[in-house]
Amino acid sequence: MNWAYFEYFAIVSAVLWVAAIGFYIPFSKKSHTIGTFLATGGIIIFGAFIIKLWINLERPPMKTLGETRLWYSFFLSLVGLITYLRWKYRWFISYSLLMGLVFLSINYLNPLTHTKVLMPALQSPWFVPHVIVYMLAYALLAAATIIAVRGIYQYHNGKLSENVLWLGDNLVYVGFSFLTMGLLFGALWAKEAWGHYWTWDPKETWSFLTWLVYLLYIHYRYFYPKKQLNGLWILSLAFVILLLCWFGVNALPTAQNSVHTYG
Amino acid sequence: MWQFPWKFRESFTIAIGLIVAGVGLELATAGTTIQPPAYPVNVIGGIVFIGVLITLFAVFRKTYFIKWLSGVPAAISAISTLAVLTLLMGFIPQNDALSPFLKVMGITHLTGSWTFLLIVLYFETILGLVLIRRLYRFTFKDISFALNHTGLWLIVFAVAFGKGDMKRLDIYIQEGKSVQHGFDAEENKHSLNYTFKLRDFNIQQYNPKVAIISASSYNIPEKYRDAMFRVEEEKTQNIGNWEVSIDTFYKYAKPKGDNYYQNKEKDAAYAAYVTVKNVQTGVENEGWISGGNYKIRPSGVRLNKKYMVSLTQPRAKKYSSDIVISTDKGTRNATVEVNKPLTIGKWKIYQQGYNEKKGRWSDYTILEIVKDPWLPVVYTGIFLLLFGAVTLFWSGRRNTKTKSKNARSL
Repeated sequence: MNWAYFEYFAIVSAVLWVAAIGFYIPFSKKSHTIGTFLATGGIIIFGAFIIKLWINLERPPMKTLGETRLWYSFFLSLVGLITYLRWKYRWFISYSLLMGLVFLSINYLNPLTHTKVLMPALQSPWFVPHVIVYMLAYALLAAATIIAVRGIYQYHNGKLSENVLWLGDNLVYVGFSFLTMGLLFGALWAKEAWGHYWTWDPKETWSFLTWLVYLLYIHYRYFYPKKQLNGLWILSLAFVILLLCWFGVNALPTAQNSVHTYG
Repeated sequence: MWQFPWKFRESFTIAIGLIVAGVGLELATAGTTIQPPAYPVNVIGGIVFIGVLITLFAVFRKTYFIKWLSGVPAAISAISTLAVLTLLMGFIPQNDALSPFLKVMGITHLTGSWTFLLIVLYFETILGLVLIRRLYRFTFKDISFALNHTGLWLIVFAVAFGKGDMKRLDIYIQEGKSVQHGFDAEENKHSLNYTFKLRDFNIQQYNPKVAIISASSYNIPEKYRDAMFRVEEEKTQNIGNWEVSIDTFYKYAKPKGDNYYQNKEKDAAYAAYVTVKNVQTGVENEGWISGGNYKIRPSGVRLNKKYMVSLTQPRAKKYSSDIVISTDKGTRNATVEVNKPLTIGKWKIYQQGYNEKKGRWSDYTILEIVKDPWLPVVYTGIFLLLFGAVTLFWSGRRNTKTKSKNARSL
């Protein structure tokens, strides 16, 4: 109904992405090109679904966690594709698509009802940029985490390459840039909606913490570029905090009175 | 350890030392929340702070101590300890009533604790010195660094020193009445130079939803929560094993006996006439359903011993207050809406709430009036940091070791 035939779009995108991952496995340029086309097709179809949902709901589909997951799957696959086209790491686009698939499956297995209700506090020109910028940041930082986890594994095999770390740092920089914008847009919006730019609401507290941990990573890497393993662990830990901020906050005892809990 | 140059261990020892000192001060003051100083004390404090930073740099910049205090290891220790305090705040509700033990440690009012104050000052000192050091020999390639660090420094500075000048008052106004005062968070009354009169409180609501509720508690059981649907005339939809058809829907209705009649007068409720069919047995029931309100009891169509069909409470779509603001200079009509605050003089006025028990028949509005003289400083910081974020996006991470040797700028 309001789900706007999510399952059909999701299945088509998922099949295209799985096929794309398959085509990236063999060592053949032709095969990789097909993979890229399939991945792009999946992204376009998924994007079309988001637009359709937006029209159906008559409001931006960015209110519930389920809706933010849609953007996340979309941006993750997009970031994966762009990074691949730029740096040609096949494993990277495969993992990005895989993560996109995981979040798509969560929505598929746990379809939440989508209502048209948009509470007055969310009716603001800040709503769309705030959420989009955050989801893009989260997707970029997830991409950096893929590199961190792979990096830790490679470190222990003695195969860690400096170039991969460099790519990870670049993703963190761009992701952190968006994370900062998301945080500040949120502050500017809060001033308009709630009278103050910062009230240490649980979601604000956790997003500040997320921001601090990535800030820590950037400074650590800058000062100790040779202590690669520690850097990689900080980067992985930062993503755990990010996920807690995104999904965990609603369940915490501190969030009972959060103004950021939207049904 | 403690041999210059100081690195990680010294930095963290000092940061942890500050936390210990903070907890000590907190214990000594029995966990009293610090009241931030207001004008002019905070302004003097801010100027002194900046003066100290500049003097430290001007006079002692060649000492190992100031080199350490304006270096990355110290910065990392400050970021880490601030993160740990924020993590505590993220897990422990900030409410002194939670536990007397946590209260005297300052953990249930962290932002008003000595520990937090010391760590923020440590953070701001390091950030300030790093900034002065870099600006002292500024070149254009430091632009990203300068924007990000100046922006953040300004924000923290204004928040820390400006907190005491911020005023937030709630104003309750009955429809047709005037008030000239507001209440702070501690329920203290403050008089204002303005008189506010509420001409009209406007509210639009989303239509309520049709839901299966427990006949005893009136709550919606978890299993039927996702099957609710918005009421609409001539709509038929299934909830669980029941097919619900809406025959009539009134936005404004009042009950009389077992029936509801359209009635637009005050205190009217939403009501609908529905036919409910059990899909398995084919048994049909019909009747009026309504979520009621503070005057009208809810009613529903019984399905079985446990459940009935009824309407939910409607949710607000938009609300605003038409007010008249008077000063000795004159009067002004205005409308305040959520997300659309109004500026009068140095104050901003926000639509905050209303009598939620009465819903669309609310007879009062709650406005919030806010004064924050440090806001321009915070906004300057925010915009610098935003520009900084964009430059970070463009420049990315310069490879420090492998690609080029001289590009060590953040």
